[in-house]
Formats: sequence, structure tokens, C-alpha cells
Amino acid sequence: MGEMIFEASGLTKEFGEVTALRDVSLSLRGPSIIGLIGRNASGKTTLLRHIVGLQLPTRGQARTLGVATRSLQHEQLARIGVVPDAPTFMRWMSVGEQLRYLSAFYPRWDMERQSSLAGLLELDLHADVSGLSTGSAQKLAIVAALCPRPDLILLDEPVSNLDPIARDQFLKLLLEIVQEDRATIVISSHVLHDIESTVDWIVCLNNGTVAADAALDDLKDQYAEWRVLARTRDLPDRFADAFVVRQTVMEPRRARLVVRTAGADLRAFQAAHDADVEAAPLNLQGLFPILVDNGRH
Amino acid sequence: MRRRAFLRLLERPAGIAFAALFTPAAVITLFVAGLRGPSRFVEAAGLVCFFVGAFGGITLTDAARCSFAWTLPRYRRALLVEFAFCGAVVCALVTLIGAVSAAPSAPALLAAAVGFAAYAVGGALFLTPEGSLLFPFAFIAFVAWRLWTPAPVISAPLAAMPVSAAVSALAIWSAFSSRTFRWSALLGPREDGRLMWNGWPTMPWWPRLRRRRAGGRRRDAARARYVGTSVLRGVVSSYRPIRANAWLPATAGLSMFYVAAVGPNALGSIPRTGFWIAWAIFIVFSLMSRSSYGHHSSASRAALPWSRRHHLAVAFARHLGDPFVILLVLSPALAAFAVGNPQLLGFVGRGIAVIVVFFPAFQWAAGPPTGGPWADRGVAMILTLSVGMAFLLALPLVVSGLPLLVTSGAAQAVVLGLLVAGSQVLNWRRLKGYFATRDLVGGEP
Repeated sequence: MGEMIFEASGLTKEFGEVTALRDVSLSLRGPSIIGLIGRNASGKTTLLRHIVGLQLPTRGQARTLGVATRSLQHEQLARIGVVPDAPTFMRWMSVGEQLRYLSAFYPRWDMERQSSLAGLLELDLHADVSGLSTGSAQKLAIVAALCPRPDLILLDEPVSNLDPIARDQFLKLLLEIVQEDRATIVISSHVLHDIESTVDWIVCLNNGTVAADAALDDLKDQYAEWRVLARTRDLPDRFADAFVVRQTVMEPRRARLVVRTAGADLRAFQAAHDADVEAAPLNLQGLFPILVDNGRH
Repeated sequence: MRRRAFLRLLERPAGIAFAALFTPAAVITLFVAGLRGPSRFVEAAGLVCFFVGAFGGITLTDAARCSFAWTLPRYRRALLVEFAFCGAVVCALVTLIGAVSAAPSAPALLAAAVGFAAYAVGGALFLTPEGSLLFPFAFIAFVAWRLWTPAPVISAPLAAMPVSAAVSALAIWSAFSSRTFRWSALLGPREDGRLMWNGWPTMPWWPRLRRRRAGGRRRDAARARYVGTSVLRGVVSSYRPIRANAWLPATAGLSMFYVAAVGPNALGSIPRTGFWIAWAIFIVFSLMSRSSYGHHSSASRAALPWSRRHHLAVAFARHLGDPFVILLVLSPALAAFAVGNPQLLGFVGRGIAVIVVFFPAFQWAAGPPTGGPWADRGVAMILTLSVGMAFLLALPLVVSGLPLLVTSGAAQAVVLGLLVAGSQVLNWRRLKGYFATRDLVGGEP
């Protein structure tokens, strides 16, 4: 069992009449790479902000690295690296000056890693911060978050503004960092295809509540995709089998189903519907609608 | 590695420009005030330290609103220590000037205590949400206090010292509290030209107006797209996104005039009432203009389908209209003041004319006429500081100096009218050039 990184119990956050997080109870342990997914306004950024104590619970408890988030001290903050969704820096500094300014506050700032990351992400240390594109500002935020060799790295949509090459390099880098530093990474993203190959745990938020909190492999094992091809007669308009959670009948003799593996009997189904079935694992993209809306989308 | 949290932030073009422009003015002010007596010196020391603290506060605000500020370990503490150290150095220098100018009568310790309190308040003003909310009302309280208390702090040093220490502690504590830095980090970067009032509607205790503001913007975006070619309708639509908080300076100004001008005048003559209120008019006018011109633009994103000529016409009409809208808002208070102080009408009129002359310059300093902040914030800040210093220099020169050169009231009106017209002609030419040659998004100064 690894270190308890973040623990929430009955965490609720309200902004006036809007409830961003509703009775969230979570335990995140490291080292691991945790994918935080959910639809827009599901509470992902609010949860990340609670982890660093930037926002405080309206009700409930939140603890990060063993300390209540309200009382996080520099000892804990020095162990956390954050890449926000819209990073902002001192616009009048150069990239190098900005990194030098930040490095003075961290006891474990790794200059070697700074050079290698800047090279890998093609970040010009002499460029002015004010002239950085959105993607370059995000690269700077990534370098600034990773160089202190933190134990906990929070990434809020880190790949959304990166080009495909930089995105690929960045995700490979995350895997290396977990191995090298034994860090825990919480990555919030809508680019499910990208994070699927990186994360080992999924926390899915839906309307401020936890819709899923499980290992990605376990989630994948719970569901499967069945491609159904009728042999002799047309398929029904709707399959009534209890284990079918999502279905798309594309034409009278072909259908695509998402099924809950527990209780799903492939042979019995084939016999009952006189159809051939090709079973395939479900990817995160396919899982997502089931997790957030129970298959209604 | 040597850590310089706050001092490093001062090493930027705006910091150097502030030091270069403000230091000589401050030294002269302190020296002259010292020669005029210890009482004036203490007041001047407070004023100078307040401005230095306010600049420090703006600098701190820029840092606190960066995305890294909240999680940077020991950052708040480092900023606090260096900010306080700078304040101590400034107060020591100010006291030294007092010792040189007013020799034995200069109350060094009192000047240092009042100076540090003013420095701390100046810093907290821009950093804390409540500071910016309270500022106009604190200003009213200050003017009222000076109206009714001819004897300044010098007469009660034993009371002034602990009060100054308490104010310093409260200001520093509120400026560097975790609550302030949390709020700053969530608010995001400060927009140029919007030093105050733009943050506190985001506070939790401001939900009602926040919602109304969001709704207003949606309506405006829909309306602006279909305004057609009418410049008048364009101007009206450009005023609609004025933030809900823009009413605060207007309310503060009007409250001040009715409480401080109408009341005392009705009760009888109070020493220097008219003089103080006249200066209050200038300051309130400036505050209102500052809050107004930062809040609307001719080219919100929704309005981009407008032609460049339409942008130009709308921008100029709005630039021209702003000071007159503010005058209209203040007119009841001005009328009340004029009835009570007919001898100061010329004084106030000249001051308002100076503000109107400088208005386009302030509008340019606030940001590009297409809306949003200037791309180069350093240059924008230097521009703001330069215009501000020029304004502070011109105001007393014209208000007190013009009657010495031109004695006739009519001739003064002509001179001032020409200055107003000249500034608007320059503004028109500048706007015309801008809209003919520049991008409509992302302003380069």
C-alpha cells in the first residue's frame, strides 16, 4: 500500500447556489498515475484546487499528504507541482529568469532536468514570457512543475494546448517520472485516448459526484464491446438482455453493444439471437459515456 | 541560491520608471513640507510612503495572481519580509530628509510610524479584495477627518504612534494572509488599467451582482453583433458591459459631496472646507474616470464584425462622452458645492478642465481602444505612470498658476477650452491612425 496522497470525506463545495462538488469521498494513493475525467463543469478543476488548498470545502474534510488542506505548510507545498489549465507567469521576465526565480524557493530543484525538459519540449529559455503562445506557456508550466522533483504532480488539462508531437513526448515523460521519482500524478484531461495509455487509475466525476473510482484495468474488465452480426433473421429493434448497457442497432442485421461482463453469456446470447458476436475490450473513450451518464449518450 | 522574492519583482521597467519619476518629486515634496513645519512634514511623509506602498502593492498583486504563487513554498513569507524591509528603508529615508529639512523640530519617530502605516495600507489596498472596496470610503473618512480636525496627528503623538502601529499590523496581516493569496490566485492576472474594483465582485459575498453581470454580458454580446451601423447604438452597446462595480466610485463620490460638502456648508463655515472639497472633486472625478474607461471597449469579441470606420467612430464618441457622462453623474453634487462655495467655482472649473484634457491620455494608458490589456504590460505601466505624474504636475500648475498668467475668467475659459479641444483633436488623430493600421485583437502599444 503506497502513501496516502489525498483523502476526501464528504467533501462538498458550493459557490452560492451552484454545487461544484457534492459529498465526494476519495482516497488517492501513490505512486500512480490517476486520470481525472468528467464532462465540462463536473468539478475536476475544483477538486484539483482542493488538493492544493486553493479552495476550501464548504462541508466535509480534505487532506493532502496527510495534512488538512486548510493547513498545508511549505513542507507539503514543496512536494507538490501544479500545471493549471491556464498558467500565468511574470510577463516581463524571460522564460529562463522565470525559472530561476521559482527555483530559489525549492530545495530539490533539478537544473539538469530543467535543461533536458526545456530541450525536449523545445522551450526557448531566452524568450519573453509575454510573447509565449498558449502552448509554450503550458510547456513552461510543465517544466516549472516537474523540476522541483515533486512527490505529487497535478495536471489540469496539460495536453490540451500541446501539439501532437509535444503531447506524445510529454506523456512518455510522465511515465519516466513516475518510475524515476516514484511520484503520484493526477491528470485531468478530455483527451481520453492520450491518457488511456498513461494512467493506471481512473476517478470520474459527474455533476460533482464520484461516478467511478477504480483501476482502469478493472473498469475495462467490467465492460466489453460486442459487434453483433445476424445469421438468418433480422435483429430486434432493442435488446432486452439485462447485461446490455448501451446498444446501437446500425441496420437490421448488424448492431454494436456495450455489455456488462458480469452476467453476460456470449454463447447463450448467440444462440438466443441466432447471431455471430465478436467481443472486443472497451477503451476509455467507450467507457466514458457509461461512467458519466450510464450509457444514455 | 539567493532568494529575492519582492526585490526581484521591483527590478522591472515599471519599477525603474517609478523610481526615476517619483523619487525626485517625493524628495522635493518632503523637503518643502519639512521647511513648512513638522505637521506638514508628517502628512507629506505619510503621502509619499502611501504611494511607494501602493506601487509595491501593485507589484505584489502581479505576483500573487500568477498561477505559481499559491503553491510556491515560503513565498508569502518571503514577500512579507522583503516588503516590510523596503517599507522600513523608505521610512528611514523619509525621516532622514525630515531631519535635514526641518532639523530639530522634525518628529522623526512619528513620521516613521505614520509613514510605515501609510506604506502598509498602500500595499494592502491593491492586494486585498476588501482594501479596494473600502478605499473610496476610507478616502471620505480621511477628508471628513481633515475637515473637522484642523490639528493633525502631530498634536497627539502618544495616540498616533500606537494607532499607526495597529494600522500597520492590520494592513500587513490582511495583505499577506493565506485568504488574500488564495483569492488572488483564483482571480488570475490583473488587467492593465483596472487596478481596483475589478476583483471583489468575485468574492463569495458578492453572488447576486456577479450573476447579473454574467447575464448582462450575454445580452450585450448578442446585441452588439446586430447593432447595425449606427454609431449611437454602438456607443450605447459599448457602455453596457460596464462592470457592476463601476457604480462604487460614483456612489462614493456622491456620498462624499452630500456628506462633506452640503452638510458642512449648511452648518456654517468650517476652515478650509471649500479647498478640501475642491480637491476631493478632482480626486473623485479621477477615480470615476479610472473605473469607467477600463470597463468598456469598442471591440468586444462579439463586435468584431464592425467595420474599422465603425470602430473608430464608436471609440471616439465614447472617449469624448466619458468625461461628460461622469460630469452628469456628479452634477447634483457640483451644483450643491457651487451654491455653498461660489468663490471656488473657478478653482474647481480649472481642475475639471485639466482632468478632461488628460482624459484621452488616461484612456490610452488603460488599454487599446479595441479592448483588453496592452500586449506589453511593462510599457503600459510606464505609460500609466508617466501620464499620472504629468497629470499630478499639471493639476496644481493650472488650478493655481493659470490665474496668475491670465487674470480674466473669460480668457481662462478660452485657454482651457482650447486645451480640451486640442487634446480631443490629438486623440482623434491617434485613434484614426490606430484603427487604420493595427490589429483589432491584442493591442501593441
